[in-house]
Amino acid sequence: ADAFNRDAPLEITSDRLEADDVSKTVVFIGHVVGRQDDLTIHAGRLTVHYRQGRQIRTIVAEEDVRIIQGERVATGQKAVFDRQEATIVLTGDPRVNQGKDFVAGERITVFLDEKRSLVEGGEKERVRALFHPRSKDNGQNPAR
Amino acid sequence: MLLVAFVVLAVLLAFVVGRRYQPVEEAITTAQPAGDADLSLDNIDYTETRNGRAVWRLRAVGGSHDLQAGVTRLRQVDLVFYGREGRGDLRLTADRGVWDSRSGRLEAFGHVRASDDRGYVLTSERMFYDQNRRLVWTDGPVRLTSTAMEVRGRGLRLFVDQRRLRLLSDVWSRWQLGPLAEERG
Repeated sequence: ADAFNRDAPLEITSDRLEADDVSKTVVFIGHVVGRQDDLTIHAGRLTVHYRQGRQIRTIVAEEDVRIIQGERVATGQKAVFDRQEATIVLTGDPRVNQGKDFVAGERITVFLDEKRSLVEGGEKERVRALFHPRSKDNGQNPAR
Repeated sequence: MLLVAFVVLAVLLAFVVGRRYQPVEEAITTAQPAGDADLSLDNIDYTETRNGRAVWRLRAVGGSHDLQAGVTRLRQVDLVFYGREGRGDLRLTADRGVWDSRSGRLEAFGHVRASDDRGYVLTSERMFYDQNRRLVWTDGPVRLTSTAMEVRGRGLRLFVDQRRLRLLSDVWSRWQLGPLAEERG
């Protein structure tokens, strides 16, 4: 699969927007949809954190987050997108579905450049996974 | 970011409009008695200087001033704020402007366009500024652009002193990200 293009244009739509030059944040509120390359993020709230030189480094999505990348659909209550690392860390009942298979835990890190996710359990939530046996010709699994 | 630039513009706008400015340099105007206005002005070109340095310059094709109502109406407004401490100039143009000194309210309408020398541009059809509340606002469509982004929405509230901005509905934005600083070189 082509690597995720973290420098591709980012498009965000929402009901409202609030920008705060002191805390250097731009917050999109209400029916937020963000698209970059082959990634789409749906959320109730999305906060863009920028730094000196006005570069976007981190994006935090909250409130019924749903992230779609190809066949992969990740859900949770919070997702932190780190542009530098090209990762998304999901918490708040996180789950990654791929077709009928899924993995869930306390924290999931999705590697956007790879077809890989890291699932971590914790006190409250053990790792759970469900993989359907493949027929011989396409042995794909959503997570290792 | 454009939103930031717009905040800077608003602060300057507030600074200009809020001051009891004294005409340090005589405006090059031709004044004649006006119809219902007390004063009709043409070719307005007014520069405010401080300590010998130009602070801002207001040009307008024409205008009128109603002494009783305390309202000044301007046509083809061209307002330039000269940058300081390394900040570039900011320019605001509009077909018309109305300044109500009593309410402390400025209205600019008709192709309102604010821009700076880094390529940030704000456009709207109508923009208000309330000096008492230190608030810039419009209920209409707004478009903010720069080389790296474009944001559109309907309804703007800019709180000058808190440096906070809101777009009230229909927000669409596109950001050209480009590599992060650490990645270069």
